[in-house]
Amino acid sequence: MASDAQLVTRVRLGDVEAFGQLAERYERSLLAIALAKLRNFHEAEDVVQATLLLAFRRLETLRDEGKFGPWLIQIAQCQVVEAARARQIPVSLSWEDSSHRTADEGNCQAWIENEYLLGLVARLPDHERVLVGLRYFDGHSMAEIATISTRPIGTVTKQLSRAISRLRSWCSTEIS
Amino acid sequence: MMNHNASLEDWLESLGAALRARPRLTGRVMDRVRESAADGSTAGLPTRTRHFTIRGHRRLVAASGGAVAMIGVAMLIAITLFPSQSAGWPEVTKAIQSQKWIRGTATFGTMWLAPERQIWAFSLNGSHYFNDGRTKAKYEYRVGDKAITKLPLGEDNAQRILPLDALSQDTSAIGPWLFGTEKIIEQKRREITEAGKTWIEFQMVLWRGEMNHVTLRVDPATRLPIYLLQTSPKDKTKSSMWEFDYPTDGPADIYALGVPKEVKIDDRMPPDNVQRVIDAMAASRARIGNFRLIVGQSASYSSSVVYRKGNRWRIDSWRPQVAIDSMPEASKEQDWGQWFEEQLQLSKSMPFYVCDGKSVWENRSFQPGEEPRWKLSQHTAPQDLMSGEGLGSLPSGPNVKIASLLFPDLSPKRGWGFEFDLEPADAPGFVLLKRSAQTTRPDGALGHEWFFVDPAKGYAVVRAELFTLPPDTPSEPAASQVRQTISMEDFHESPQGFWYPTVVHNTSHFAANNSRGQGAIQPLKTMVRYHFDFDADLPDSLFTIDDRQLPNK
Repeated sequence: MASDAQLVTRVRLGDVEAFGQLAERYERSLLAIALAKLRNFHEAEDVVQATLLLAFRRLETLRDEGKFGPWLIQIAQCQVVEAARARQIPVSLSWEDSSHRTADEGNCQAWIENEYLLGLVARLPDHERVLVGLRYFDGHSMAEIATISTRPIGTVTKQLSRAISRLRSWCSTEIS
Repeated sequence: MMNHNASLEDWLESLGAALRARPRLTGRVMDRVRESAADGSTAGLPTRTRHFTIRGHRRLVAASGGAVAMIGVAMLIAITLFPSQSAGWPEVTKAIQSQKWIRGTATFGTMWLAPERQIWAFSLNGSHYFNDGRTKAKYEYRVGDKAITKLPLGEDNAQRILPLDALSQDTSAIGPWLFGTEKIIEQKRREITEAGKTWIEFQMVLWRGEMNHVTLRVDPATRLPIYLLQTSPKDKTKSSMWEFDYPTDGPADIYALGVPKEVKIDDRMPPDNVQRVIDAMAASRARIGNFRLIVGQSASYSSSVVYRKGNRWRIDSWRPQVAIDSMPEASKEQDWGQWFEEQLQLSKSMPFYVCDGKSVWENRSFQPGEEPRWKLSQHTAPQDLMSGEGLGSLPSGPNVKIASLLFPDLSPKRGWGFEFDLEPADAPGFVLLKRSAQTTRPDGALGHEWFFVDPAKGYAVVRAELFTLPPDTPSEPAASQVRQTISMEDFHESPQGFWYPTVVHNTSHFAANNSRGQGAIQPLKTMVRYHFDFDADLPDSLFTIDDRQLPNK
């Protein structure tokens, strides 16, 4: 498996297909980011596509190839804000406010809980959100994440553990 | 709020599994990325096309003619499909029809059209295609194929061959069926004088493809097309030219196009009784007529009102004052319709799409009550609302295509496996049509679609099962952890004989496996209600847009 930095370099050298690997790697993480605010799969998927295409077109502006993940997340956040603005959704919408729900994927309790969790993940710092997304949403193993991010597996494990603790703490506080 | 019985990691795993059950987007993104890389463009963002994409289901790899076929299609469209009300076009149509054969020649291929014999054939870069309107069969032999594939023409291709019939009857506008999957989003006619000679030119913009600007030049003396020029709006150096002549003979079959005689034909035509079912479904869909339709979906605050009058249609989006979940029960259909009408009176609606019969306009203003800002749609074409493709949704318009949900075009297609059970043991009285295709998943899983069709209701689909299974696994919906069930209830028949449900239930099942191999199936349920009015007043003003709201005004 190639690291993000290696793939970015290959794309810059003209290997367009390498971008496909990058896109597949982060697709679900981006979907989670978009869903957290838009709460509508169709719109969220539009945002994912827009984000990836924009990333490809602006790849030359990425200064540090190793920071592709956080950079991609920033683009996604901008796209989400734009989409939310177009739909007149307050971008500061929090999970508690369900009056703007437009999710068309069902109203079952499970999904409401999922939206809550997505909202929590969205509050994580970018570097932790990348790790949570890669691990749980895109389904990569710890070893793969270490390769993707060119960081030692121990560091990845520690950072992910910190992110989980943070989420757990928010959960306990808010539930209490 | 939180599921206290599960750990946070399990919860994240479960959420991730639900996200991963969604169709992959990378394939579509990469199409745009490759386009972008090829033309160096930095303008525009991707648009979403949802045809043949199934919600909660992997996108099926449906083989199609692709870009190669599109060139031929574009040319055929240009020859045959201009609206008859364009000044001079009836004469052009008549001139074309009087020819036995029309041949188009380009550097990369040859195309043939026989209006009376209903043949459309073309050879492009070593691949050969022969479409026979009389036998409703198409033959394909692509580079690398070991056999010629014989398939039913399907609605799209049949319509590509037959439009001349419609034009000869001087139909007033572009029928929704005319363009197949190659859609025209803009068209103009002009006269041009060069070196003292005047030519008629028909210019159009196709919805996709790099060279999507097409000009058809016609000789005003003979009324016959001279050439068709395709150009790229982004790169002026890219173009292709088809020149036309009118021979007396043409190819009798696909072998005459250059396929070696020893190549056998792989006949994938459905048996006659199955073809009759497919035809009956298309006929039932066509019986829908004019209507006003309210579409309300549970768990959603935005709903739609759809208007259709001939080849014109409109979709308005609105938000009721209270949650649609609180609408009356299915058994009180009349109450629900009344309830919805009352909600409409209290709500602000905004137009979303307007199809004037030739083009589809999208409102770019998203604020109810605000003046619309119209833009030509880049991904929705006039025929989309009523076509048999897709399973119920338009881009940005979920659940409004009830005609395609009830009566999809299930003609066998290249790349798909088909099975038919005219007397399924577990569903007596119904007909079961099954199709499957390889998904884009790395394990080569197959996407299956089962349609239970009720002959007593005009062959409407009353239940659909969409599910994914590993290859070589016996197909059975319950065996799949990722599946979707769509069931229609409370059917009625319109005065024109169109059968429709008032309630559609949609249940998606996602596997919530976690990293330790434990798992559970999580269902997500939605309900959509439909309220038809086939006698509604449909003033023409619904289908026209105010010139002052056009982008350049």
